[in-house]
Amino acid sequence: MVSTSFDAKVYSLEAIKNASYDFTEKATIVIETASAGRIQVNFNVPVSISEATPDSLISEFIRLVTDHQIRVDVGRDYKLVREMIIAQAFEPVDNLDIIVSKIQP
Amino acid sequence: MSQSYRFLPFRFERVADRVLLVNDVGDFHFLPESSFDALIGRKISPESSEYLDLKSKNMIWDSHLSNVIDLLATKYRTKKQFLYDFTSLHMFVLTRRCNQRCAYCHASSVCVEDKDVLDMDVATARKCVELVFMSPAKSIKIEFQGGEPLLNFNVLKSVVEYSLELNEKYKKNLEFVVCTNLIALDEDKLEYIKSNKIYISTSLDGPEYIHDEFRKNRSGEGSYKNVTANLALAQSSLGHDNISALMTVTDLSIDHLDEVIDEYIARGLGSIFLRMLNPLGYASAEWNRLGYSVDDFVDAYAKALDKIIQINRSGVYFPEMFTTLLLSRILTPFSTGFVDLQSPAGVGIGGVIYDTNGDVYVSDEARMLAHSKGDKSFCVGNAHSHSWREIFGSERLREIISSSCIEALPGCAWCVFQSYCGADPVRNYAVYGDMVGKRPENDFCRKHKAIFRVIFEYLAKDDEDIEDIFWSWIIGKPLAENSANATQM
Amino acid sequence: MRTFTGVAVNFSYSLIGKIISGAVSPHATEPDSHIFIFNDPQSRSQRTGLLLNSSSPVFENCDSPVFKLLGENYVVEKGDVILLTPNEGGTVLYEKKSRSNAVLVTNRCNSHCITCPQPPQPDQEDLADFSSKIISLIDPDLEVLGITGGEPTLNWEGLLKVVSASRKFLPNTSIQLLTNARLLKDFVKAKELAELAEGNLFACVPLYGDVDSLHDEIVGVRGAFWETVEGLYNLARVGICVELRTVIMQSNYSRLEKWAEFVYRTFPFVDHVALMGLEPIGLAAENIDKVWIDPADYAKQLEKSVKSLHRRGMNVSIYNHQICTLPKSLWPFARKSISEWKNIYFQECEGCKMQSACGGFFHSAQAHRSQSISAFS
Repeated sequence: MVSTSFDAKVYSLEAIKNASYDFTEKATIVIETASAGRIQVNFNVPVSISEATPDSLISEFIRLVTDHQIRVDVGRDYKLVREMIIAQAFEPVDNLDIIVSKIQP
Repeated sequence: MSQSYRFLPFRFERVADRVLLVNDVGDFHFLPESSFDALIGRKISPESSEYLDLKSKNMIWDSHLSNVIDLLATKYRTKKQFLYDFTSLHMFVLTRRCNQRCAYCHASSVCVEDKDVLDMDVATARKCVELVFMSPAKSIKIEFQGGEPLLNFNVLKSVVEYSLELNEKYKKNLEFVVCTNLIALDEDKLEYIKSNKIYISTSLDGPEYIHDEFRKNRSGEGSYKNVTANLALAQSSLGHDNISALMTVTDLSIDHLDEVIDEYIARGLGSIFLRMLNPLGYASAEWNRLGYSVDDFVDAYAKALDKIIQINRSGVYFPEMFTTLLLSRILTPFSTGFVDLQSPAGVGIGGVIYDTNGDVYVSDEARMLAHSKGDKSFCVGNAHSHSWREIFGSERLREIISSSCIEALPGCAWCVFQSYCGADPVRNYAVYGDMVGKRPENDFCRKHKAIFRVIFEYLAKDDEDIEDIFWSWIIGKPLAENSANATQM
Repeated sequence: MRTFTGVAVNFSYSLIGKIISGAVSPHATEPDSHIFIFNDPQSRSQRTGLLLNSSSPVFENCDSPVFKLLGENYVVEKGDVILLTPNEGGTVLYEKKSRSNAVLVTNRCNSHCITCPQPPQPDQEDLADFSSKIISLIDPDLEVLGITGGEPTLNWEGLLKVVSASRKFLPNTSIQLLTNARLLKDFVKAKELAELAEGNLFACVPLYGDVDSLHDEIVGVRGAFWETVEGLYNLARVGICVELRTVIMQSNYSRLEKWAEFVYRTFPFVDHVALMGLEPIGLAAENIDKVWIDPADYAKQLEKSVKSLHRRGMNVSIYNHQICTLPKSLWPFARKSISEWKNIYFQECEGCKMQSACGGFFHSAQAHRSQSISAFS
């Protein structure tokens, strides 16, 4: 069993979960909240691909989490805009400029 | 210093040593890793060309938000135009009989002479044609399938004639395609096909030794000689542009696609469609003998594509059709109709298939599933007993389609290729037992992701010759013919 | 517009007339007069008058308007529409043999383009009435009639009046409307225009950049980019054909290729894309240091953008460029776009074998032209 942990203030559970989904083929993952604001990730690596070293496995996972954290952060920034684009595509409104006037760059 | 710009919806992934960004409407942009970090850290200067590029490609905004939203909404609507062209592809299974017994037959065709049970009859055909014309789509394509549709040519004729008759009233853009192995083609049938402008889609797996390994007639002899002779006959009568062929990659041909391509060019075929074998129909049972991994397929595809590009570079116009479809998705702002790869899925709303007895299935795979496993989960009605509204407004169809909006599926939601991809809930169900299909292990997903990667690696090269070639495939004619035709003013 | 001088006889007010016979030229002997018809504002009927060569005697006992030409710099032909003003002279308002005839709707404009060749000015009178009068006289075999300004949509009622006149008197003529399309962001207006024009109008719309800041800087109005974008979409929705234009200058040449891609992905419906060389006149001349770039210095960007549009199946043309400033691969796209009365050649062009295929220069190129002009031998 290999494991690593993430600072819950920096990394969201969503990013870690999504990275785990992408990692399905490489390992079975159990996520648990550890002490002192950390999220613990335990890897159960199938024997067939166990030639990958634990270190390389963990650094690959951390890279995935980092990218997913960017997706979560960026996604939070554009969430409202995305909803409005799709709404406007299928049920356009005339007063969009008033509706969005509160969103600032 | 932090800059005041905000993000527009985009997805990203590392491709070709850079970061590929794709937004919801399919605009894409490559950034070096360092620029990507600057983008995310809001450190790109508004004066830089990178900043203007990202704005121009709709990845960020800094003012006029309502205009930006309107623009993207219009582009989004254009991309999803296929939703408004409700059900334009109508496939008719004219018979389940076939004069071949191909080892990998997805349609589980049978070679017994039981016309009463295995053929569509005229009454059923007419009912199906009536359903076809209830579709609100402006363009209607009727595709004859089988079994081997030429074996039930009288019913093919009655479908064509009744459609033409109804179309005098409905005035759709009506097209016919017959998917045939050509073996049963004769002068009379050819004359009829010609005079009714029916397009021929056939199958040629490669040179004789490859084709004949799996495509055999009932007595076990390969069909290559017969097929190529009739292909030449059809080409000389209909013109080369009205016949295309696809090839099914098998374990035998996977390492010899270069020979397959040479064969296609030698036979005067103007394009090729490299089709990966699916674990459906007979292929499912024979998978150990015929099958191969996704990785093997993608390797072979990439090599074949490279060869095809070389051929085009030398001045011969010869597109690979699946690549062309994906390129149209990536490079044009338009919606592309290809029912097997849409989101929401094309099942039912893009295309529909009428079985010999009038049963209506949401896709070809849905019909194959019913025949090979007796599972009629994706049958949404019957032309004899149900109205258009009952079939296409059904709760079942709604459920199938809503399971296929990849925008909401895990894995797809953040996949950089999502804007160009789609789902096939029927295939997921057939292979994985549920309509969503878990993505990381899903071959359909892995194959498409890998192929998108191959294509984007070409696009990342920024090679004008390759762009000329790719665009000539999308436009559908050699660049030389697409001559400077601007009007003088 | 071409002008000529002369003496008015038997009339004391301005006349707009069409030449209906003869050909006067300083060297012609026979015939030495031609007849024009005009709508007499006083008698409210169509009357005829005479345009006379300087050497012709004025007829005695003639009460029709006569305009006796002075000097030798004039040639008018049958079908031309002219304006005769006592004490001021004559102007050719419509030149039958020219392919670039246009009428004005207003001289006002809502943009202040840094390269504007005809800077806007206030209107002294309603130009639409004047233009409608011209249109009523033009022979109906005209292929294309330009409507220009100023910004024609600013005089909306006037524009509609001119379009109606064109539909009424020139039913087979297509109307080329030069507009920044900003006011057409109002869908109702776009629709009204389309319905009136009945498929016989196409709009030529300038879009100078692929991002708002760049375009707005050039047209001098913040927000103009997005208004034009909306206008373009409305034109597409109402089925009016669009020619999208850009003028290549210092601030936008480096983004030409991105502009081309943006145009294709955002406005795939445009029928024609035109990349135009700078005309160093008007505001462009005043701002020459800020806007001028030698065509030789942007040849690469121009080539990439034209090829990019071309491979995407778009119709694309290059206007106002001399062939010797373009890479050979772009020659098929170069059009002879400079109006006949503006078009000249220079010393460098002497003996050039390509002159017949070349657009030549604007008069204004005396001061500014490419360093790479050279004759093909």
